[in-house]
Amino acid sequence: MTGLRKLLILMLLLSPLPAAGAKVAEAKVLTDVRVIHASAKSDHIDPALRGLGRKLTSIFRYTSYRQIKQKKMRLEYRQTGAVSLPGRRILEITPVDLAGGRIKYRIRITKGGSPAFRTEIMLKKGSSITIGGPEFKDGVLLFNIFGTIQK
Amino acid sequence: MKHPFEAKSSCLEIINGGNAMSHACSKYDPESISRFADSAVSSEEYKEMKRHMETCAPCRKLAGEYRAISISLKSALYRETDSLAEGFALDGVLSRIEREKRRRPAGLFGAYGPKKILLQAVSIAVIIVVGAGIYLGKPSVIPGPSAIVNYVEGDASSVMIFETMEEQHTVIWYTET
Repeated sequence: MTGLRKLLILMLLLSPLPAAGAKVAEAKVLTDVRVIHASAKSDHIDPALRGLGRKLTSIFRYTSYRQIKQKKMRLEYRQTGAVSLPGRRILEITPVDLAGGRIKYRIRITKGGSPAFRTEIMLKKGSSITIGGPEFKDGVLLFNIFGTIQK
Repeated sequence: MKHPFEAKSSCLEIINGGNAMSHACSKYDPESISRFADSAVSSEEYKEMKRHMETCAPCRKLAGEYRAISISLKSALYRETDSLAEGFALDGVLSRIEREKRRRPAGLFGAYGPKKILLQAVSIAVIIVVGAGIYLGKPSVIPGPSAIVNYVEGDASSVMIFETMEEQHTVIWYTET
């Protein structure tokens, strides 16, 4: 292949790259945190949960799922969003990177001001993760975290 | 307290205070069993462990569980990567173009005039753009679970991380102290 042809193809292939770098920096991370109370005390799926309720019933043995709170945040990279939780708990979430179609989040849960749980996850864009376990009122708390990119 | 995931969870990994659950065999630990299940041991070790499995039910059971996890992860990955195969058709087209060009005698522009060279460049550009459009136009399918967990830490007495079979939804379950 001659030099001219190589140069033409190289120009075509490289032209989107600078624009792509700028776009990642400008993008906002849409993060939706839902706080759910799960218990076996009754048989009820909160209509506010929609499809998530069906997913939760397929994973857990609880019979009642009630959405306590939902917070939607538009975060920049390295910006922390906070959600207050029952039982003097706070969930802090920070998107730190985007790689391979996955958003890297750092998540921190504190209880009474002391750190209780920390994790770092690579969440597929447009997907969610469920974190659960803390006991609350004859049941447990579940935190469903959904993330996607808004350009 | 009854376990909330009994008979409903899959791909289960239990970590108790950061250490793997105790295994009822003193000869092989769970990590060794996991390597055996993935055939990631030498052939001598494999034969020895296979002989051991014939008489050790706990090791045999654990190896079966690890293999089941590997199979479900691999089948999900294969389903997703099948859709990528079409992108490689573009490489075949470009290779054929290259072979054709090598057949022609060399010259200032490879025996072509400036118009023909421009026509070739435009043709190649169109092929790349159309191919990229076909490849990128498909909804991007990222294989694997909904979330990959890099680490967990904190004041928890136990942590479980698992992924559901059908939707590959990731769940982290922790117990506060």
